[in-house]
Amino acid sequence: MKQKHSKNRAKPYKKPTPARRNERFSKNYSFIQRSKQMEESHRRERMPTAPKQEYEPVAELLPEIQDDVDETEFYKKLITGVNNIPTSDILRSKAEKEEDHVIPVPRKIKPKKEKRSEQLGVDLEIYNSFSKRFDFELSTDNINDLIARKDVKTIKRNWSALGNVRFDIPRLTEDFKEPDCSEPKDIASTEDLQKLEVKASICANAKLPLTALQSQLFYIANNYQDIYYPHRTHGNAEDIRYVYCLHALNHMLKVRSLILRNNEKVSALAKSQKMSPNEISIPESFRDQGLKRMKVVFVVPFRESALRIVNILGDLLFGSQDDQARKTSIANYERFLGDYSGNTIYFPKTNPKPMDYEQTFSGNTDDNFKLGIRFTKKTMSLFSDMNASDMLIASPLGLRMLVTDKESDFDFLNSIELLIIDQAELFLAQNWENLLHSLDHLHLQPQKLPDTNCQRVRTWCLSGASSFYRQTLFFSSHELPEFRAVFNSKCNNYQGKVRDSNLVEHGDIRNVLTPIHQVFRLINCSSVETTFDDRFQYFVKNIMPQFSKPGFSHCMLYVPSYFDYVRIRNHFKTEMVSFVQINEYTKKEKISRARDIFFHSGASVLLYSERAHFFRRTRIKGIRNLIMYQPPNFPHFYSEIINLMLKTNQNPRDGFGDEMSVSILYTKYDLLSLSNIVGSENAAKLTSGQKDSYLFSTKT
Amino acid sequence: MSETSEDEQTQLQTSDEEEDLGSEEEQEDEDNNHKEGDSEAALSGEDDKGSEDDAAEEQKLTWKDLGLNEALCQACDELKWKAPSKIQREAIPVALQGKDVIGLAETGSGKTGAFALPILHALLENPQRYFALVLTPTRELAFQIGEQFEALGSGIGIKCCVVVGGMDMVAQGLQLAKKPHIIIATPGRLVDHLENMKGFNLKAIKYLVMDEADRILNMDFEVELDKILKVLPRERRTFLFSATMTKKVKKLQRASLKDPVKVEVSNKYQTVEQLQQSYLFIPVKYKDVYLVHILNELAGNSFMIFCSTCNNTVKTALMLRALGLAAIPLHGQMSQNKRLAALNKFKAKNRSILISTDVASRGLDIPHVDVVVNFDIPTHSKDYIHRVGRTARAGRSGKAITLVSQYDIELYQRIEHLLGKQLTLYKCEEDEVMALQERVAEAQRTAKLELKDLEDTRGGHKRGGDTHDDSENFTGARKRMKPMGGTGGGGRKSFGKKNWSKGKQKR
Repeated sequence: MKQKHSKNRAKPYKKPTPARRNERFSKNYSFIQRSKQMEESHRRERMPTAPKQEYEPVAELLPEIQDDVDETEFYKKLITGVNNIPTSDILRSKAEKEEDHVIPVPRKIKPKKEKRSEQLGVDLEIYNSFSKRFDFELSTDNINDLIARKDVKTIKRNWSALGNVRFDIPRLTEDFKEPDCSEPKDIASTEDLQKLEVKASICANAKLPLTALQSQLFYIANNYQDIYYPHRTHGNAEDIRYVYCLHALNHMLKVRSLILRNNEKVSALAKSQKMSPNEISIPESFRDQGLKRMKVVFVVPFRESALRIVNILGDLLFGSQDDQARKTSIANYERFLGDYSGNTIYFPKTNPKPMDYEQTFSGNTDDNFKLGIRFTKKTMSLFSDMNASDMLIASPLGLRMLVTDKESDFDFLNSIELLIIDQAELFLAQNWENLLHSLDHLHLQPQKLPDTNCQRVRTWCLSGASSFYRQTLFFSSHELPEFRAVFNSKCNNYQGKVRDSNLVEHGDIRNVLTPIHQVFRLINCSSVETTFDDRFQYFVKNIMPQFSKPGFSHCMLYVPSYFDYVRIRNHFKTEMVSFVQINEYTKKEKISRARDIFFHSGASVLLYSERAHFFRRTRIKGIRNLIMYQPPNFPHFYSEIINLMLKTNQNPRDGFGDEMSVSILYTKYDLLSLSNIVGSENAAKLTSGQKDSYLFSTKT
Repeated sequence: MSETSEDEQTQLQTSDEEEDLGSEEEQEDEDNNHKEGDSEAALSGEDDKGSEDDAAEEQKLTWKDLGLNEALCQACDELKWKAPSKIQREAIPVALQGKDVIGLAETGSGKTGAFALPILHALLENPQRYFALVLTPTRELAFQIGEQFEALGSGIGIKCCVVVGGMDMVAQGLQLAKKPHIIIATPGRLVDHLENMKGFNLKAIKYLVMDEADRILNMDFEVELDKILKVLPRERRTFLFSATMTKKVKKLQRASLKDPVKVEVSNKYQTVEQLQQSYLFIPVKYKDVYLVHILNELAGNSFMIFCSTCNNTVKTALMLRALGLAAIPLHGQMSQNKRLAALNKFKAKNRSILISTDVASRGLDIPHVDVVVNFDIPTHSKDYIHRVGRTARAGRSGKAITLVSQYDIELYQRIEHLLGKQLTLYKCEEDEVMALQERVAEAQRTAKLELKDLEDTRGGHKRGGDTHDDSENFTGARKRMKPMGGTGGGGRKSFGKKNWSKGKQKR
């Protein structure tokens, strides 16, 4: 725990400007702007306090939410964005689903008449999806259209496991065909994998049958389209991991077999001309490589995730093995076990943490690592040098340190063809900026001449178009604006994107056990850039005056963003508010002291940061008033915090009655976060309605 | 006879006093003069006939008559090239027959077309990547030739790549890796790519052009040129163009050309008739005043002013700007992009005064200049020919004025001797000139201050920040880039080691 403290306390990196940043893709400056606004607001003179307005909540019960909602332009965009289905259409939608089930689904993949060679390792058949993807040459007009996001065809389907699926496919040619977006059948046998052109050596080792979810994800991945799947759970996590490892290894082996085959041909050609391969003219059809060797990058939060990925890759390559057998088939596996296995967090047995906490933090949770993997004909090597690696498994911090190390370059990230981001919500708790910074360093022009034979480099790599040939698979447990932003603005796959667009039906609010009124308060703001100031001003004018009322105490202020946390803390100190604070950098002893003071009425307010809760899941007792400064980024924290307000956690000697309150501040830009809490339908109402407050109640 | 004897004695005495290089140069001059005399005596009659025939041919001959491909003829028409120039008439048919060509021609005579058109013609017959390599002494000339190839070949899908120093090496490497048809390069940078870029080789090259070969050799690219010639295939066509024939050029010709056909269209050390040449004999401290006077008197014309050093170029430009004149400096210490920007400004007529060192005396495709001023007299007599060749081109008239100070008499006399005639004195009223003295002195002080600021900005070193291997001031003492393998290996080792130790520390 102390180690983690020291890491978190480390100084933030100064970001060196990339040598040749691709200016067409602007950087996400939200975090920078937020901190700048914080600084400006401190310099700005304090605004005179407006006359206090008394707040009168409108009491409404959950089942009786009114329907009169005025649509605004922003509302329409967001409705389209989240693919919302209005209440009145629910029945119709269900009817349509039933109709879909009745219609028999035609077979999409025709069985091949030719017999397939069954020799392992001698698989010379052309892979259609692979060669179709990488032999296609984007023209300048194509690239301009892709950058401007012009002419994109949107197709919506409903698949059994994925649910609502939205395909966004660029229309690059005049004779654009309607892509086949029908639901694929499950992958049950080796033959099914072979039909999908999976390498024979993998087919022999794959664990079959795949689940419906795995089959559908693999089908999309195998078509080299980007995937956005924000419904990862602890239940399906290993299934998802297996699918993307299967796809990554399959892609890697296809790349390598093509290169090795062409290497033999080039050697024969050179031999016939009695020269070395670097001295002959190599035909254009042998362009099969990028400028750099690395093809696949996994971005995962913990070393435990890397351990599981390596084990899956090894099993797919060599068959199921135990650790002892892996030491012989995987080079440096013994060192790898020493570095990446083990447990770093102690889980108490008395007063246990929530189950999802133990699942998230089991194993080695070191968040600073980078592991290069190199494949040869017969073996798989770990800890290979970056420029000699085929795959990289890294945490956002490890990747960030790779690209900010000034003594070396990040050329090895130029030719990435497959990027896998898993457990993205944990990056939000670690440092989201690390991920954004690293993504901005993909596909930059190399700073040194590459080691690859220049006649073997694909022409789209030479033209700087490799970002359009990069597939991205994005997995998270829920949806947030940050995730959507990465998928929308940093993924430029020319073959399109597939986004799981299921609505949240209920949200976490149904897990609230405490009988209490929950008031959602809308903050008006004109633009997304001013949300921070508008929220702060709303808080200062409308919420803080309540702190001065006699008898006000036991108030927890839950702040998801650390920048907001610092701003509020400084404001509290200026205003002489009686408060204690717990954040992710607070030491253990001070946490205990703060909890004790808060419980025994020594301070009126507890200032609590979301990341502190994420990393510790501390049980705060004595909460009578809860204010959520912003909807939580982790939806299950909503019910968890409110359930801490149960009567059993109150101090009976305080002398207070049953009066308790919960307030959640939000803006219209918090639509996705609200969806996770109150459901997509209710969230749409909360963000588009004319009222400035809504009440949900679990009181009987 | 006695007079002749006296002249010879004078020449010998002069030779003794000069340095070895000068002596060598003088001997070359003597040889050339001697040959010239012979040729004049022997071929005077033929010259008359030739001129008549040329006139007749000039009216009739078209691009198609030379045997060029129809698409190329159309490209020439679109570029409004009316008819082949003399060098083109002479060289293109020979080149189309598949012979090596050595051409003696000045810049502006159309020699770029003389080698570009035959190459494109052959390329259309046998399309191939890495078809032709053009070597030039300076990057400005390389860009100019690249533009010509692009213009001629845009309709037929030609891909060109210009590889010169001062540009991003990796970006150039990526362009070379795409296997363009035509490579236009300066020798130094091309050698860097040959040595450091894996898989890049020139074994498929069919045509080699060495443009301004005397310049390439004078700039001490001999080592690089030798390396390039070694890796080129022997079965190739070679075109060598030079304004002057020197011993080095002859040696290069013998080493790299096979039975070349010699095409000679230059008038040896002659200036064209439309050029009015004059001189001013003035004290050195009044040079600036007289320069301003000339610019005022001939206002409305475009000017090129030649200075001997980069510092002089900048100082003079700043002084003229302080006087309200739009002046653009161009010299070897400027970065590549700045040079191109200066040229573009001058081309676009935004400025009408270009102040430069001899880097711009030849090769650059500068539009017609009305007046050339030799603010500093050239140290090499031949450079005078190139400088004043910037004006009175393509049949238009022009003026050349040389400022001669008390220290320049000998150099000036050498120029007159080379030309074989005396220049006229540029007339100006001294009273009018001296009336400008006070304003010019003030401008000089302003320029001096600004120049000092510039030097401070540069870090206190005039030449420190912008050394390029093919710039005008290149002395040949160039650090060769180390092979990529060693550097890469070292980088890899330190990289791996660092990561490992970091990992340990973090855990």
